[in-house]
Amino acid sequence: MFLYVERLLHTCRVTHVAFAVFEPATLNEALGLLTNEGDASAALAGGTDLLLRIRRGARKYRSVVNIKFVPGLTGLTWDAQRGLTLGALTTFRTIEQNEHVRRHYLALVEAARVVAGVQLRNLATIGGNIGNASPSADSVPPLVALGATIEIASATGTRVVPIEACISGPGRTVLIPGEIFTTISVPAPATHSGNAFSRFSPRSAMDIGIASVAASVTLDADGRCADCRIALGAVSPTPLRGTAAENALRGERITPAIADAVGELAAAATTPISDIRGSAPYRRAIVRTLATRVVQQAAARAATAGAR
Amino acid sequence: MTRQYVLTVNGKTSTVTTEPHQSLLDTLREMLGLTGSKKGCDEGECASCTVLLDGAPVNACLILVGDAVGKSIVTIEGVAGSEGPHPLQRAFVELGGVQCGYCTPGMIVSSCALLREQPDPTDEEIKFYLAGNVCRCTGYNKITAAVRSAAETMRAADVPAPARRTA
Repeated sequence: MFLYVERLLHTCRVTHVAFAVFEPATLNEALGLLTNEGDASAALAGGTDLLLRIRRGARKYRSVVNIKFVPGLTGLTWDAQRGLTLGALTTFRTIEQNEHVRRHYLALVEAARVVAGVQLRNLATIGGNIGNASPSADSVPPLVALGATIEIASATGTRVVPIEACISGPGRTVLIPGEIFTTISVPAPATHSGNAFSRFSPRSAMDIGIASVAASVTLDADGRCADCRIALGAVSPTPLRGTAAENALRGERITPAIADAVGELAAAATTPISDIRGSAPYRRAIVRTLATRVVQQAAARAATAGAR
Repeated sequence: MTRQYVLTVNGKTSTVTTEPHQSLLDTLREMLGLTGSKKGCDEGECASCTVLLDGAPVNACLILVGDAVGKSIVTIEGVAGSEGPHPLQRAFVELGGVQCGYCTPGMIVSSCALLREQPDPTDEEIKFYLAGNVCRCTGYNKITAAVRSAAETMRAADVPAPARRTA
């Protein structure tokens, strides 16, 4: 009851926690501001997580550096050799609707489509989703399964790290003050490869995943698994690959028996927490089922993909 | 420190003086008197504050006022034409898509965007598009029926969805 009243008071209050807003026009200006402001500032992308954290008082910032109007941070390009390049500010709605993503990276589409609702997906960005570093971030497992990398820029230069290496813990990334994510690169899919993502949450929209699995599978001419990557979401503090499951799948035909074994090995790799959304054993059981399904789905897509 | 912002809302240009951390929703409601957009949760969970920003439905509670400068903003107040309520508004009334009314502005503004993207949506497409709009009264069936009915009316009469209203 008290919580309810407090919430009502909060939502009726017009004024939110105050902070200054910088609106840099160039990347260099943004990086300079972030360097100068240090810990007292944060880069504002879609704002769907950051603004809430500020309003709830979870994080105190003197300022935000609004990077929405910085050129070069938006835009999605596809190239048959180089693959997909996503500006960090690419929204989930853009990703789910793009014809190239829909053709080559269904795992990303499947992840984008379960993020909140259409209104939020028009605001929320993929760079922000990674930077927020929630273990349940929906974009992370598909990007890990697809072998994506992210470019980090600072006033002194740029560096490129794999997605799985850019998150260091719940809510923590490897970014140091003065750095931002600029672009995400997803390699072009191999010939005869397919990918898939599946998430379980009690509600189909406006909910956070209890567990998720993404897989990318490449088949050889014999229909055996030539290569694969399996990523598990919301079951560990940092992005997790099901390495043992991948090793079990390589060289094998994708039979129900091997998919079942893959599910078991994937579940064994997890280190989930128990919380209000589900217990650790429950999350593990979900991963087992999802991994079994998702590798079969990715393999089925690979079988029909043909040469790219 | 306050700043001046020039906003184009429902085809009309207004200048407001406010703090840069203020949300577009608070600006619309408290400074421009456009209280049709509702403040249900103020955290992007309910979509009762949905407005169209350059045609795209977004949660006005999660946008800083400065992010709306130079863009076309359409609120529920801009949905009706000079000839009276929009077919979506009529359908919501006629088919009982409204109970307490709190979610209705967001439902209708979002539906405007849906019908512009997809003039003949299936029930599944309607449900997918409105999945972020929370209603605690109707059970959604009458809302879906209202959108379907308005879509038919609009296709028959060739009524455009007011996605990018200009002056």
